Amino acid sequence: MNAGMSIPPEPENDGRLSADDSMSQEKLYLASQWRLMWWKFVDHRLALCSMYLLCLFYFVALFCGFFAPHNPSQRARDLSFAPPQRVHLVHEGRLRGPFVYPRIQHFDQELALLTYTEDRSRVQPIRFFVRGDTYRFWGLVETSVHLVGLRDGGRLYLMGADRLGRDLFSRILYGSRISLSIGLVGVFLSLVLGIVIGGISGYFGGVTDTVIQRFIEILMSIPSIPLWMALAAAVPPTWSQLTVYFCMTTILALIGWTGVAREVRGKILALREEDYAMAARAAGVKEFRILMRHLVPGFTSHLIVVVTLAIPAMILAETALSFLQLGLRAPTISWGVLLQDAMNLQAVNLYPWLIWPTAFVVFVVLLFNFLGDGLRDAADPYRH
Amino acid sequence: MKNLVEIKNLEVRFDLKEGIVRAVNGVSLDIASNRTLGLVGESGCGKSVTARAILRILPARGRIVRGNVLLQPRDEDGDEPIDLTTLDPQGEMIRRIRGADIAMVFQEPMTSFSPVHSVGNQICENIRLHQNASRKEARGMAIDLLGLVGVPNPAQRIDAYPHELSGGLRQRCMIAKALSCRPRLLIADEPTTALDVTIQAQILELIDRLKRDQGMAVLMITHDLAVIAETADDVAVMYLGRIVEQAPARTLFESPLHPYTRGLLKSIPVLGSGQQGRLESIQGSVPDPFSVPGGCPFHPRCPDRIKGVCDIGEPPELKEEEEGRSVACHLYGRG
Repeated sequence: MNAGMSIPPEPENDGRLSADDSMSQEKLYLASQWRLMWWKFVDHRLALCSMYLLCLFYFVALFCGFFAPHNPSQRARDLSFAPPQRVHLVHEGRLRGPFVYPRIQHFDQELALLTYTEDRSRVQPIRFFVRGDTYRFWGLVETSVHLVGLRDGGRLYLMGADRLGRDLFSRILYGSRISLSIGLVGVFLSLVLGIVIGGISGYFGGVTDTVIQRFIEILMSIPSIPLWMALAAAVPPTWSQLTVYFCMTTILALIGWTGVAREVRGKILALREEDYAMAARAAGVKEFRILMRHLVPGFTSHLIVVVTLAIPAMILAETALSFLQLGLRAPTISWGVLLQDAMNLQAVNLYPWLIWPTAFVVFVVLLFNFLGDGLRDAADPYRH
Repeated sequence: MKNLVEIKNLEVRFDLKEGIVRAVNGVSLDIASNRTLGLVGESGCGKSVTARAILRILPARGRIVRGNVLLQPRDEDGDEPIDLTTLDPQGEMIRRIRGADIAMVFQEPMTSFSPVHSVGNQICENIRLHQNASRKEARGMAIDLLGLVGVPNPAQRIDAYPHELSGGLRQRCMIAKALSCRPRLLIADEPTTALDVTIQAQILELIDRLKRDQGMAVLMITHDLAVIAETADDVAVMYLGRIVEQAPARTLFESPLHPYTRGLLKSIPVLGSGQQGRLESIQGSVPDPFSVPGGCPFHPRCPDRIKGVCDIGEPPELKEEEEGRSVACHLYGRG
């Protein structure tokens, strides 16, 4: 590492950096590659915040039964297309803490629409750790404790309701389970495919390389939406939600590995000429082992960046597929499925809260892009 | 057969778009245990290709078209010599020989270690590939080896990454890795070219000491005659894929026969010899490998060429001129 590089802030040594400059210099020289990357990453505030927020998202997705106020499939006919509820603090001039007013449904004869008004006479205080709809915690323990909610079965709709009166906020939280994990699983699969196929292509070269590269070109030149349609049409409608989910991830991974394979091939082409690859062969190491043990680690940091930038693409692909009704279907809840309700212009006009899932998609995709940005800067040894 | 490795009439070709390169053209060498054979020649004369052909790690376009490389088997493997040229270059057999029976030290200690694993890790990998050793045993052996090759503080250095070591230390680690399975033949491909002169002497001394202690054979490949003078017992001089002269080191330096060898020796400065004026060099440069001149390949650059003899017909064969020394030149053995 060159001596002119600025000293990265060290968490435990931040305040008294100047007090012992030579010691922190020495620390810098002795730091491993990952440590250096981490220091540079921490410097990138936006990326760091994004990472924490993403962790929060995944945490919520893991425990969505607890965080969601309601069962996402619980219908309520008297709350069809109910708008988001306003949270109030003051009731008749007195501070009452956060509460909501119950809603009363009217039928507007003139417009032929259901409208809602607040019943200002009753106060429903918002409570934490309340008992509500029962759910199975990770399919194991049956419980009914929710983070927020109303007592005595009152319904708290922070983001409004859909046509069947289901709570959109709860549905978004439940949907994040699939929408966020499909990115991880899909990227993992395409990463494995990409590394192995791209690695073989780059390492062995010759005919193998040509065949694989032409195959990738064919795959890349097929327009993606018709390809998705064809693959999705092959999914039998009788399959269970879980099977369809795995099928979708596989479809996304089968299309998504080509980019990774190209990158890996390029890197391997450069690295296989290195003397240490020859040295490993001279030591009697198996070809595949040379590839995986000696060549692939040479660009792990690069791969991590590629992966963080590929996850949002997967999330978007899932959303797009489900939105076009090619992917997951109704009883399954994902952000794309939720957006199917927002397909028709009239619905969006009358019930604008139905596009809330879009906000979540945009937010998560942005977070991943910021994170990838920070990682790329951190992994690049030529940027100080 | 008493020699550890016998190379017989080896011929290696590279089929390139521009034409065929006969990188090694009928090379025969005998490598005996406990001796160092020096292989000298200019860049591009086929020294490294010969070494790689022995281990069957030629680049993708290179192939062995003729010849044998016979390896004397270890005692327990019976007594039929193994012909390395017939083995599958990616097969189980050759991989068991690489690193275990025949090990190689590379020219660039900077780049012959993978930068992402510690040197100890890479030495242990070699040990565990060829021997039944647990991680812990392998680590112990690696520390011993590092001590043996003169790495100070081996118990700490074993966890060092290549970039944390100096060139000399790295080359010592490379030698430790090569020695980890007690090879019977050590191929050293320009082991000191990338090092400065003082370190160079230490490394050569180290290889020489290990050769004597372990009784292994060494094939020392270099373009540097000083390195040969210091280490080799026997010398083979290569020019354009052929051996042009072969002799015991002392004899070769005292009375070189082939005009090429003489030219090489004249081009080194000798301290205290009272040489005046410019150092002599061999005229011309190495010919284009795609169009090797007919007749003796050295004749366009040879000061002693005989018109009508050297520039026509087949290249001269390597013939024994005196006891233990042979030369491939029309100037000799004509009666």
